[in-house]
Amino acid sequence: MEILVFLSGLIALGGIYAMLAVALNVNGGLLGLWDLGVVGYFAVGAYSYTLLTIDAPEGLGLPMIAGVIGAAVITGLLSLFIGYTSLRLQNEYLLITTFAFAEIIRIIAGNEEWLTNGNIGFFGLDKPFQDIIPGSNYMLFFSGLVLLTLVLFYIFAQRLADSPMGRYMRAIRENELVTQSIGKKIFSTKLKVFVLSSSMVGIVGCFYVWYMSIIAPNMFTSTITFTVWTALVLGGIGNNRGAVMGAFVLILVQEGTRFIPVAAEYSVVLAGLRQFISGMMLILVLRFLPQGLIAEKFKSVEKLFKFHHNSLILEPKGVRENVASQGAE
Amino acid sequence: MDYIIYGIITGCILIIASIGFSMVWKTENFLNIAHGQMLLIGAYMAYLFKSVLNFPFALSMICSVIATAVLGLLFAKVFYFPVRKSGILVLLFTSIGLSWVIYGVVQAIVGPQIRTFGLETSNMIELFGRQLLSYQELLIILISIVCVIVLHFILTKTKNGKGFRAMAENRDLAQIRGINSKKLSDYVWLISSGLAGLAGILLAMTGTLNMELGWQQILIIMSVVIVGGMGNLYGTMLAALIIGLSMDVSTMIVPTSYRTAIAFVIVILVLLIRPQGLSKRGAH
Amino acid sequence: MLQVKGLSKNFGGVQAVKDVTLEVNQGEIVGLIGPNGAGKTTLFNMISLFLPSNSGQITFLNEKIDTATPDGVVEKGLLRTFQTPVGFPKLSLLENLMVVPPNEGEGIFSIFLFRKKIIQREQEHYAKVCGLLRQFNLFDKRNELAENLSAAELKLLELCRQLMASPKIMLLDEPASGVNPVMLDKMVQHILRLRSEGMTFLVIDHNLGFIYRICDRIYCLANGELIASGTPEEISNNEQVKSVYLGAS
Repeated sequence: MEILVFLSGLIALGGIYAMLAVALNVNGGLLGLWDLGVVGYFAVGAYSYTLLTIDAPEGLGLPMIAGVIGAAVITGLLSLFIGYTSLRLQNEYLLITTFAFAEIIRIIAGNEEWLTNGNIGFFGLDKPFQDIIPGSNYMLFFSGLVLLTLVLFYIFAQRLADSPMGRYMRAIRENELVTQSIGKKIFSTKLKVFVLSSSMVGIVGCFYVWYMSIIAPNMFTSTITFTVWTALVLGGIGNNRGAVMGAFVLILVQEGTRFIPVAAEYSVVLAGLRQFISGMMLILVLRFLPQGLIAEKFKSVEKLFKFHHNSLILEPKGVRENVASQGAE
Repeated sequence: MDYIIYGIITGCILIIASIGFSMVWKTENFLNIAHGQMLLIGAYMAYLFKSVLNFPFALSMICSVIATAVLGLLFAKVFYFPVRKSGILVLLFTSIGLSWVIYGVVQAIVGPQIRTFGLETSNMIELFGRQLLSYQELLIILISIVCVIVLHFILTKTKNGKGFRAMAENRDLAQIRGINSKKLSDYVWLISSGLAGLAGILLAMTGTLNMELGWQQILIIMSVVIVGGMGNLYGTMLAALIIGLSMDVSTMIVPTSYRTAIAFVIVILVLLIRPQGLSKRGAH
Repeated sequence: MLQVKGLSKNFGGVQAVKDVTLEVNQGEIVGLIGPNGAGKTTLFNMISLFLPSNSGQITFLNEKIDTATPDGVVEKGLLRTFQTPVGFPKLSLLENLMVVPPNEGEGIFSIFLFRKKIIQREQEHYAKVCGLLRQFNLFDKRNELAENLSAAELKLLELCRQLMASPKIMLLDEPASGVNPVMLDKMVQHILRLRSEGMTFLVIDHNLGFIYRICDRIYCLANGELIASGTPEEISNNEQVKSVYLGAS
């Protein structure tokens, strides 16, 4: 039973990170934005959820589902502001700006006590359906809920990646100048995708609150950003399956070792070892598999939309001139 | 007045910490996140020499800087050079991986306690009848001034320094002109890591040693370098002073806990107004 | 069709383009030559609105476009190519072209809301793309990644991609550089064929033989200034042009 609880906890945490990685993959992997602000949107999502749902005087006491939607909307609005100010910047400059925003968000969370209760935060927060499911089985149920949401995230992200929009996003990643030269409005696209990705991260923030059942500023250090990026790079940038796998592998390595029984004085050594292994893994994967564990796969447009079944395309000769003249207009 | 002094000290440490980062960015074209952890190594190395081996403080400082420099070069050779061809993104993430590795190893060795160098509190220097700053603080300022002057001399007067500047402009061209870029980048890594180690020690002198020092500082270092303009050494120095000063002076108006937030606000503002940083020559 | 009047550009005190005036008429192929650093590409960047100009006027189809955005210019039918054709390396040829036409699918949720309509549009684009690829003999490679193409094929792909945006005038930046003679012949044929179908071109190139072969009129730029203009014969006999070219090389 112990093991089962432990395992489901592991799966839940892995699933949360996998969702983050999938959300990050939308703008970091497909669009190629160097966005190091993940933990910022994560924190905003988690805090907005908490403040919307807990009882007065601190919060508004809204139902949970309203809290989740509110978290997505508030995170989206904030990232609209962040994106609008910073998305004109390139690579390293964008990286620093988003990073800076995330740090500012955390510092604000730690200091504005009237809003966030400062460094203490809130604890004993409610979890979904906790009245119905007995406490001993709750983690099992929760990991199932996380996995279910992860599947939804995955399907959404994968559909998006396969759509014309996904192709357009990858084109921007590959060559912004050329994309501009064929008449695309790059900035507004970036902004849209940035907001989408951040709102997704905001929703995951609610799951994190449920998982921890507390919320405090020190849960949202930049370590999370690095961990998510590490997971994405490990699994393979631009690839949703890679993102999920990278996250689970990383969490398994980082958290799985907690199960090894050691004397208290060695626990620090073990903690150090965990960081060491994660880092080494990242370095080795980059050295020997620069594309990650699962490389981004190319899918033919013809297969994606089943063009082979289209008689117009398949007819070899008669259509040829017809098509050719169309192209030459 | 005190705040300005603190600001100058913070700025001086930041100069030393940022120059190395800036040099690596300029020659290798990637953000070396592990630079922050080199500060950590330098600080703990000095602690090792001073408190465990009982060296005098000055000697342990020198030993630690040399050791950090050599270690930095070693890391570069083992981890960065083999993946150079895979592009800056791979280098960037390798450096993040290396940060985890260093952080993990240091944590495993030193454990969770917070430590200090155990330096005696030195006398204050009095000027115009006011206690201005301690000898230690004066030492920090002097060390960084000496570092800046020596670096300036190396860059403008020596053959390697000129080679470095040529290489920073255009690596391929420098190679064609017969500049040994391999040897040069070894020097760059030595100097950069050595300076990082020194900055770590100075930082630990003003406060305590803690594990998060590397992660905390790398953020501010990146801010400084960005504000100073990509890889522009003199711009970086100016930016370090500005950010150091504004961080400490701002504590007169806003709560101390917002100190680091000020640095980030400055970065965002600078990038919005001048996307290429304070200095004239931008990235493109 | 395209008029440029008194266009100038400063780069921190360096006058890259100085008071350039030129004109391209419907159905013409106009060449733009000059030694390296003469400001040809800068001029292109300004005409395609990638770079703001310091002074001067650009008129396209009797409309002032100085204040337009790059995407607005493309919409009007002015397309440009780049000196170094890289395209989208990690996208297949098909995708490289399919990404061009504006599509209702380019919204985040549209693939979930209007899936049927989008697939239909995709098929129309697909037919057009296949036609273009056949014309340029790239059809067999349609599922290759662009990074696996040769330099000459990339130049053709570049041309194809800009054609997908149904241009009225194309600014070609060095379409012949790095292209072997056999492929160059093909390139010439393609350009001439497109012209016979009503396309207008403004072409930069260092390969004077190529320029003389295809162009109706040629402008010569040196140090940011227009020093000569005329038919290929006039240009090839112009002393100033000769001295600029010999002096530079």
